[in-house]
Amino acid sequence: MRHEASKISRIIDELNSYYLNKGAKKINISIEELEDQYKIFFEVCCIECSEEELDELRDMLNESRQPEVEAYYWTLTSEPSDTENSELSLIGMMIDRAEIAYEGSKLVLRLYRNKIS
Amino acid sequence: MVKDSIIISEKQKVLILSVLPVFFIISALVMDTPANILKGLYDIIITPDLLLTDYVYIGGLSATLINSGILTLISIALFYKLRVHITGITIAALFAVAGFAFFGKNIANVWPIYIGGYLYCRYHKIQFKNVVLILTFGTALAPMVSQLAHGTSLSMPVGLFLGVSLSVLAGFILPVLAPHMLSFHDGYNLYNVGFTAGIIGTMLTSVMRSFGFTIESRMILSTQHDFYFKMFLIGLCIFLFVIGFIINGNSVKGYTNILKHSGRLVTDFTQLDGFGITFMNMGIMGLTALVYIIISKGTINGPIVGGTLTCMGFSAFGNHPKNTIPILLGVILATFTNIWDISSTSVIIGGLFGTTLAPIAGAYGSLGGILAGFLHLSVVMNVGYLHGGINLYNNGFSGGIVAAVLVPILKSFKKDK
Repeated sequence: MRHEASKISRIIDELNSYYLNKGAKKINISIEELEDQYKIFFEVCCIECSEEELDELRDMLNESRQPEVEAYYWTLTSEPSDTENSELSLIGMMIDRAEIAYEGSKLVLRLYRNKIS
Repeated sequence: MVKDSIIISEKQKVLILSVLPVFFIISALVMDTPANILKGLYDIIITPDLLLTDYVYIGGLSATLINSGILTLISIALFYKLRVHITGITIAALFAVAGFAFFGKNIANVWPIYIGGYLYCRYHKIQFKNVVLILTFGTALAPMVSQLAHGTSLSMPVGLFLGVSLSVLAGFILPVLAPHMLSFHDGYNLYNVGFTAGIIGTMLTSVMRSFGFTIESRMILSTQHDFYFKMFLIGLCIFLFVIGFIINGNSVKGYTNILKHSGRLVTDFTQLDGFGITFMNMGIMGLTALVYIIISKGTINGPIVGGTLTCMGFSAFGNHPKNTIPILLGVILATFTNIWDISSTSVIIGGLFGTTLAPIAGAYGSLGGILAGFLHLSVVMNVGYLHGGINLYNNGFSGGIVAAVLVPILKSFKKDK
């Protein structure tokens, strides 16, 4: 895939905006490049998401990876928007798997993006 | 997310989408002789097909149906072979191919665009699958081949070589430009490749005019198949609605959820609400388009069929009644105050394709949508000159301009939460 670094930055940017809009006070992020995939890790403090909101986020981020949609629309991620959550499903199409859960009071999100040509 | 009562496989999705082109081919073979169809196809291929060139007038109804049927089936086969998921954007692309094969795309002139995209993939060592959607929409520039081969004073071989070369070049740069152009309108123009192709077409036409070529839009329209097209479109809408109704568990439950989406790119109804709801929405939107055509007292011809099919296709990827009707109202309102005739083909397709701006109504309300439709008609009637009709998605070009100007203004009136 081309523009790999830009795409990962935009994925992070989009999710940061989501958390900040939800009132997050502290966000820790780590990115790890492995041989065949990227792992992106978020730990978000002081954010309140209902079970319904978590399910919705989980569903959107776990949409099947669609490289053809990614190649066309990836530049729309992290653009400021008045529409709610619309690019989270696009993020879902740009990653292979997402794990989301509360660990204590922190919301923890792990994203996995496989390397493909 | 996907809430279908009946889960359909990729093969079943392909079969459902193949019904339209197979119907086209069978009905053409029933209505006409193979010799007549072949002659019509030949006429379609050799005509310069700048906007608006109705293939139904040029080659006859049967040849046009065969042209659309074959092109759509090849596109479906290509997606299937490349394992491109059947989702909202794929459905939109297939319906756009089926629709524009009534006035501009034919079985001969689309391939150089794909070749250019293939060369781009070889150059960057990426999979062809990644750019095939952009290229499928990018065949909006297909008239370049026919225009240069058959519509200029150049000898046919020289014109053909030049047309093919420029189309290959367009196919090579489209995968770069299409994502880049999204930031211009921020996803509020559904036909983004139309905007991109408009920019490319404007540059190419300008260069060609500077060398003394004459490139002028034309207006060749059929009038004699209005009843057939009405019956066909009503049948297709009912078919899609019934299929959706069955997949949704013999129910319309959940349909109102689709109306909550703004439609801004990327809003894929198949992923967000399921295929059942999506197919029902496509049927409802097709009937909405037909009501608009009948209110406008239009005669259905190739371009109007194309507009209706494209609007139905994008009803899997952004259009729904709540965000689309305000655009149509804006276009109708413009005809009361402007110089345009409401029943003319240009105005009717200005409305049908103007639904590219539906996300504005979805995000900023009905008044924003009416304003967008109103402005769109004026802009679309003027920008065609820039590319001389070489870009079939003229409304996508206009839509990009309207969205880029209107959205920041509407945004400035919206208060922060």
